[in-house]
Amino acid sequence: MRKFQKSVVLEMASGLAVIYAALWAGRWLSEISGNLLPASIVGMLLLTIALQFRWIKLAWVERTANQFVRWMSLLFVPISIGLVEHIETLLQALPAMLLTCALATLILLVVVGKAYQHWEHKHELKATQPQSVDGEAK
Amino acid sequence: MVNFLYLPLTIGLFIAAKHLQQRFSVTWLNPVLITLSILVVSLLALDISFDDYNQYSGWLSKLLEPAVVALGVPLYKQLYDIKAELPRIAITIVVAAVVAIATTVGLALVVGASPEIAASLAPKSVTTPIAVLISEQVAGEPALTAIAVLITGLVGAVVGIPVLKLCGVHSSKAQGIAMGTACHALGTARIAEEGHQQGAYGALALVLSATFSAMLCPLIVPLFT
Repeated sequence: MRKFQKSVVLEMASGLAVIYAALWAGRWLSEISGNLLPASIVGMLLLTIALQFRWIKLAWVERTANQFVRWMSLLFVPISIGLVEHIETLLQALPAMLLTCALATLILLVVVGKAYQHWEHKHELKATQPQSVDGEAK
Repeated sequence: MVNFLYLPLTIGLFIAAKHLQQRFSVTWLNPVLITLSILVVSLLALDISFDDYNQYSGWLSKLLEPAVVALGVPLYKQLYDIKAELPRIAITIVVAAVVAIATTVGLALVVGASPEIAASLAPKSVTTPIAVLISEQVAGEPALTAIAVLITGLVGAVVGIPVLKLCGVHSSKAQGIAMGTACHALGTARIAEEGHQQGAYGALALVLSATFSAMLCPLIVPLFT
């Protein structure tokens, strides 16, 4: 039991160390590149690259990362509470916001779904007809 | 003096709301929506300022950046399976990000929103921690963006799947990518209930669309405002 707890603490600590190291590296890279991308996204990409090239082991970060992802939605509650300072703007803008968000989301959903399905279908047709002349595979 | 209490209160409400959602397994009983509604109404009714609330609760916001970094782990796991399709997915999502930003900002201005509000809505399809960062970059209001993201996610989670099926999108990969791109984490969570493949493609789309939108928003939004 004690051994188990010890390993959990160690895993959480090593995970935090890796994630913050990636974040700090991300901050630095983001700054010298003129803030092209937010530091956290650069950090995320660095973490992915580090895992991909086996610079770090998945076991070092997996547990901590899972917890972060699991509780991520809680983390944006305080930011959203900031709307109490803008409640008048929000109430005024709410009809426009609702209409825009709903309509634009549905358009995007259908466009992306249709486009990818079409592409996927075309690819499968090509894959099943290897003999046919390229470009006429339909 | 009482300010430190808002932090455990926020966490407690969120956990209770999460249990409530799992108990009844209804998507629109979203824990963030419930926690947010209760706290906003209470703060307004009791005339408590945001600064008081945020004095300690703001600690949670500081964890957003490492949480985004942590998304690198699921991304790495997806990459392993999806490598061959990656170029195709990436191109789809770059185009989707342009369409998303342009239609959102355009529509907002057409229905009479101010440029600041239109800019705040631009990253509405991106997961909140990144959307609020983008919002700051394009001179929007992060609090409004957070609400827009929430509305978008709820729309997708509630009507997304019926709408996709109605329009003839039956491929599970296409459904996953559409939900992850258009309605971020909430849409991904909903589509993941349909199957592992949908969930994996949704998660990848979520991360990629956030990355591309962060690059594209500062370029596209100024064209409109």
